[in-house]
Amino acid sequence: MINDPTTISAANLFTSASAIWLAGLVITAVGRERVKSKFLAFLMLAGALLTLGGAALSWNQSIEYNQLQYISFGLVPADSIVDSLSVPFLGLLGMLASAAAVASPCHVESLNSQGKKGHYWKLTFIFLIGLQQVLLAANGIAFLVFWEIMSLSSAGLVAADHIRHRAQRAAFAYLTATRISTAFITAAFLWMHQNTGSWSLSSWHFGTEQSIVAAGLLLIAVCTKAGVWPMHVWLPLAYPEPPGPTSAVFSGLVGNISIYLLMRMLLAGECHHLGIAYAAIALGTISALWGVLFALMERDLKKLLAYSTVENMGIILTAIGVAILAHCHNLDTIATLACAAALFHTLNHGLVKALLFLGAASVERAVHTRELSALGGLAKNMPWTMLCFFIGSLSICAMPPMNCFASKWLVYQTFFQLSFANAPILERAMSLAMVGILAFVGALSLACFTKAVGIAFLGRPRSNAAAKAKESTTSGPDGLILAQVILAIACVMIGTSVPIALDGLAPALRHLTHDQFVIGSTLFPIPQGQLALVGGILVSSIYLFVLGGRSGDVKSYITWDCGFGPLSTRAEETGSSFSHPIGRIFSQILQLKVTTEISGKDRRHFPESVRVETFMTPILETKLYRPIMGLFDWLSASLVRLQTGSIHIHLLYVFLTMLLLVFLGTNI
Amino acid sequence: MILDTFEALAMVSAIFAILILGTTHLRTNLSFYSLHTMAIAAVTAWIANITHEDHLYLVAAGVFIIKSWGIPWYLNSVIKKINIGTDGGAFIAAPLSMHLGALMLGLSFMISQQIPGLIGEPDSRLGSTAAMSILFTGVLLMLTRRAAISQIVGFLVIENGIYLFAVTQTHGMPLMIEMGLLLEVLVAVMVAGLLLFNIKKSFEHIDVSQLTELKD
Repeated sequence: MINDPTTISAANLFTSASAIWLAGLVITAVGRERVKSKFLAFLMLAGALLTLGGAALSWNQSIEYNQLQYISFGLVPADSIVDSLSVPFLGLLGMLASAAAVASPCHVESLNSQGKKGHYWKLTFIFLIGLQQVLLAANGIAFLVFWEIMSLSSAGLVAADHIRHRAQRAAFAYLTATRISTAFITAAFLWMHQNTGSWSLSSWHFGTEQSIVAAGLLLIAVCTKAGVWPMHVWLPLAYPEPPGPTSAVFSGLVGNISIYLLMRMLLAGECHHLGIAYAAIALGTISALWGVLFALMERDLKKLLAYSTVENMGIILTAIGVAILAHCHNLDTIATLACAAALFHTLNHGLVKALLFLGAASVERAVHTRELSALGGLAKNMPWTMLCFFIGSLSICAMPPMNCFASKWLVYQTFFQLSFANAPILERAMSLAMVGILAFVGALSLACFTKAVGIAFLGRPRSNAAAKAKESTTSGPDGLILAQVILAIACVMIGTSVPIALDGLAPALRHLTHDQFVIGSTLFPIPQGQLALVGGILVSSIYLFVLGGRSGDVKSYITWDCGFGPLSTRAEETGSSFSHPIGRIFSQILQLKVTTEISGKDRRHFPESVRVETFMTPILETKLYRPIMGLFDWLSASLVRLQTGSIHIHLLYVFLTMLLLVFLGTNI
Repeated sequence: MILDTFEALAMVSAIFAILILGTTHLRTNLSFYSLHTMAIAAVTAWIANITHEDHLYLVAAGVFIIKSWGIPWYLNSVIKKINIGTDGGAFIAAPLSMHLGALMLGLSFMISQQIPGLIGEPDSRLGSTAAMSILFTGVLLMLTRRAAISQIVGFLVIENGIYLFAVTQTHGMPLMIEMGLLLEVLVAVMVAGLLLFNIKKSFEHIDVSQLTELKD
């Protein structure tokens, strides 16, 4: 196998991609300001394309190689493995890294200080290397090492704008979350190593009784890192912070890598624990509801996207939970469907979320704010961004014929099938309820993205900056726009050729379900691509032959204002007013309070001023995390009292510790 | 109980160490320290004689020259230069701390009976008793005295205790390590002496209990 030419060339491609990124890192560190950002972006792109190429070469067969063997981590060398499960994620990495590379030069040139440029390039290269090697790691130790490299470099990216208090807070929250998740992963890996005596990831099976502890630890770790309720509080803080182009890679892969870990361990490792399945489904459901509600109420464009990630991670987690459940009851069809749903939605969501974050970055670059209340009317000035953001929004709301429609359809299908399957009645009832909850979440997410697109791009500009927004720094579309177009095209392509995409994922599905007869294209029987084609032809012919003839009648004129005089932006609907009715319904969860002050002599009929304010207190942060933080603060404040500054007291501590150790050692 | 000769010598050194606790006169302290270290050098030489490990003779000579002559001489000259004769005041009065030291000797005897896995031929419980008692004495010295120079002496006594434990239980470490340790102690004392000058110059006293800036 090792002499197979495909194997060697795929392995070479992956290694050279890492080497190129490493070279980029070294060049940035050594060359400083002499290095052109276009050259570095080229290196990044080359590495991304090599990764894509390697993934393409190895998509149908698993490859083991040890080209990094000279890097030994004490217990085991850094073995690499490319199996059918890591290939889709490597493909996603290649895709997003190429988009980020395309968008990088124009972002870096807009940075004013050399330090920030160096910071951006170095951390991005380290981040990419970490991501790639995590996906390639064949044993637990290598996985943990590269996972750490990935986490810490991405924390550095979150802190890119570290002079601002907001970024500091975000980086701190993100670091806390990654620390917790790494701790739990390490514990789980040690547990599995203790059980099996091996460090190889593929030799760990979660079917045994003892492995339930490891599975639980992994679930906690993944929930923390992916941002599933109730560990999602870091996510809306950290996701908006990385610099524009890398926010695509960050938002598209950081959560998905942990989902990848969960799939590799629990699905490919044949987990047979009902408790884990129930926990995953419950957490996923709450997360989906919670995420979409907060996304709807959010006033910050990027935070809205971040909460939408919480929602989607929840949906993916429920699908994984159902897959485990189906494994337990030996329902192979449903397991296959659930695995397909989870995997396909993970990939689609990564792609779409990256696209949306790039769009938000483009908006932020043009308007210098992410507050929805200061945006509006961007459609005229930023047509490309508008188009791409719209495509992304359509996709993430699961509108046909987009890619997320197919994957969400698979999720629904999973639950429908489970409700008719030979399973305990309670689980069938639960899955029927889940269909309803999913539909509800879907509707809310549609409202949420209607708000995002409508408030940001339509209507009249709500601020001067929004009125003067310019799409790109050059005359034509620049890198950031191009990157969005690439990702948008990818979304549409996948959406219109779902059977082909699912066929491409079939090896991964076989790996996940251990069922050798999975045929990807039969999972999604709707001829979405053909329908889209027919629909497209229909719409364009109607436009051309029926409406097109009258296009000469169209006149550009100011909006009719009912004779009230010029329309003010203050009369427009705002983001908060759009989402307020739904917020009212859920005011208990959202802790939404509205205060209205009307003043004036005859305040009932002729108010002089009306003042309305809405307040939202994040319930989880104040009710759960603040007490915990308070406890830690109190503990550390009490510990500080030990530090008196007196040398004698400190010596006394040393002496007492020594005595304690002596007594412990001698058992007196 | 029959004491081996080297055990008797180790006990003598422990008693000298306890005598250091008994006075706050710094030069007397240093003289006792010198005697205490000489006893330790003698222990080393005697163990070399028993076990025929010739390199221990060299170590004994090193201890004798550097620790029991060089360091006390150097510290004496420091005391003369900064012109301080006695420790300003101990937290626990000197006679009381000496008695505490004697109590510690008893405690060390109890502990050393319990230490598991002492390997050594001969298995010297009394050697470890003496070593531990010296260790406790040094800690007591550092804890109760105010003058910085007493801290240095306390540190040296602790170091001697550790060294004595090693030499009675394992019959000495390789020559290179022993010499390295000796050199390290010498350098530490040199640096501490220089620091003393600076403390005296900056604060016009060497009272450690008034140096309490070491905190957030």
